Amino acid sequence: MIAAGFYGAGMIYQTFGLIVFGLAWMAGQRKWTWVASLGLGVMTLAAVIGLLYNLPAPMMIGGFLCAFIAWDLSGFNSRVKLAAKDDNHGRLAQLHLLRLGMVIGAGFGVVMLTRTIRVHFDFEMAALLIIAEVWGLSVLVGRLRRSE
Amino acid sequence: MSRIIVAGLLIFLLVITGLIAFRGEVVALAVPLALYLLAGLYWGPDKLQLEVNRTLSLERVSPGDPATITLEVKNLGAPLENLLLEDFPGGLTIITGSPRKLVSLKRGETFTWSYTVKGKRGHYPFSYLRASARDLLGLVERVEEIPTRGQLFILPAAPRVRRIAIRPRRTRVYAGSIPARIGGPGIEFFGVREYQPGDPQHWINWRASARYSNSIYSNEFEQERVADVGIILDGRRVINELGSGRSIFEHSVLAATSLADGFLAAGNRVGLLVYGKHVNWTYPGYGKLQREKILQSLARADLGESQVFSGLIIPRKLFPAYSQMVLVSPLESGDFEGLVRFRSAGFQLIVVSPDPVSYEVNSLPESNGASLAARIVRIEREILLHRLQRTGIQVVNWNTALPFENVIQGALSRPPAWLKAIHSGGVG
Repeated sequence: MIAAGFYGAGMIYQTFGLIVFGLAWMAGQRKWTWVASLGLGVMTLAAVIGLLYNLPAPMMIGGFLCAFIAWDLSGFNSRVKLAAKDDNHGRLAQLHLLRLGMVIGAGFGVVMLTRTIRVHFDFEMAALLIIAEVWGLSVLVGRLRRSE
Repeated sequence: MSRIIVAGLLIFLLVITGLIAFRGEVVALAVPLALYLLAGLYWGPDKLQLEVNRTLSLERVSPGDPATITLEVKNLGAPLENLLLEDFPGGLTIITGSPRKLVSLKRGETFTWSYTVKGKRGHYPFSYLRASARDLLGLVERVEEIPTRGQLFILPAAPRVRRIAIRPRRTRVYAGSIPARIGGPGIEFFGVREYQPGDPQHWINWRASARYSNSIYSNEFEQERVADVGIILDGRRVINELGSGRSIFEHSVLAATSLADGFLAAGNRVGLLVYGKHVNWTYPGYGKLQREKILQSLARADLGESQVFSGLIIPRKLFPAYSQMVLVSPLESGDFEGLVRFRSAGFQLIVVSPDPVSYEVNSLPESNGASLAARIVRIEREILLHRLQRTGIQVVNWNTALPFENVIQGALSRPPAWLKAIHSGGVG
């Protein structure tokens, strides 16, 4: 979707690069689990660049969400690979997809909401939000890491 | 990289970029990731409270025989959505089933599964089960190693040796099958002495008595008793490991097992020393319990870095002087002095030596160079064995291509006493 957005804007080289990267991701995924994290990072970067260049936002957001789902499913797949072949993964997969769907659905809803709500703030407010974000994120990541 | 770190880093970069560029859509991209992390925190697993029971269908098997391991896991804590249970049957081959299971467990729920293994000689302890619980999204993981009990002995299988003739100069007081060099009741003729009241009538030697008019003489027989037998298994890596990673040690273990079994079956007091990784003693004892102890010790036997026998001391408390010692070793030229020292310390010594030369030659492709090298090494070995024999050490050179029981019967057995009695009875 991100590549289609770039293609629509006539950015052929970027489109070609994204398609090649997508194929490399699919190929590398079978061998290296870290490829998914790299893929998500690159696709996020591409979506951000697309948004900054005013490319169609639904395509950029949709492409980012697809990359996010692929990254999550890659993690789930590597977990399932550790299990025995005769384990019944169907139920686990269903529950996983249900929870992922909830998260993505809620996330997509909030993203769409942000497209309708416009809040104007100045530089000081932005700086304050950055500090709040750094603090909040540090707390969240720290708690998640500690609970491991 | 942890998935939490990846998600956190992306959120950070998206929000920073969005705020710097004053673009709400960029900041909004961070929302699904943030919700993802929050979901992981909310649904993450609590402390694991699992109860594990392990049962083995058999705790002692022969090499290659299957044993089934059954694990029962009960969840005593909060529900676990994504629980990976991993058992570690290190070194064993899985025949059926799997040592890993991915399951969901509700509170109070029990999950049971089995898998079947087989393996080579050895001792396989199962000390824990690894449980790793994650939330469904796989962000938060709790790992615990839950201690369990259980062990599997894969005991060396060895052919039974029926009779091993040893003649130590010292025996114990209990009746057995080893000629004790003492006159008394027995089977083998030992000598003639003056008649003593209580001697059975058929012991009287009428021919000797007829020569002397004032005395009657009785035959005396050699008493048969049990003896102290110490088996030393040579586990030195330097002489057991041959070319291309091949090892003759398994043959030595087979020989030691067979000999220990034979000596114990004859009622002797048998001890074992494995001289390899550590100097590992199985203290001398009798009977089936001792057989089990020795088999378990042989199952654990492994190669080690000890170099020569010169550092080896046999405690006199365990084996008094003139006891019978049996060394099972492929031998090397440097062992001569150590073995002579054993002999001079008063031990009766038998060396059973699996032949490393023929063992290695059998695995080599035929070539002039190889056959010449084998000939030289064989001559060196024969000289060593000959020198040992000249010092009074009984040596059995075992070509491992031949069955051990046949070789040992040929070298160390004697005709049964009843057969000898028939022959001496003067049938012809």
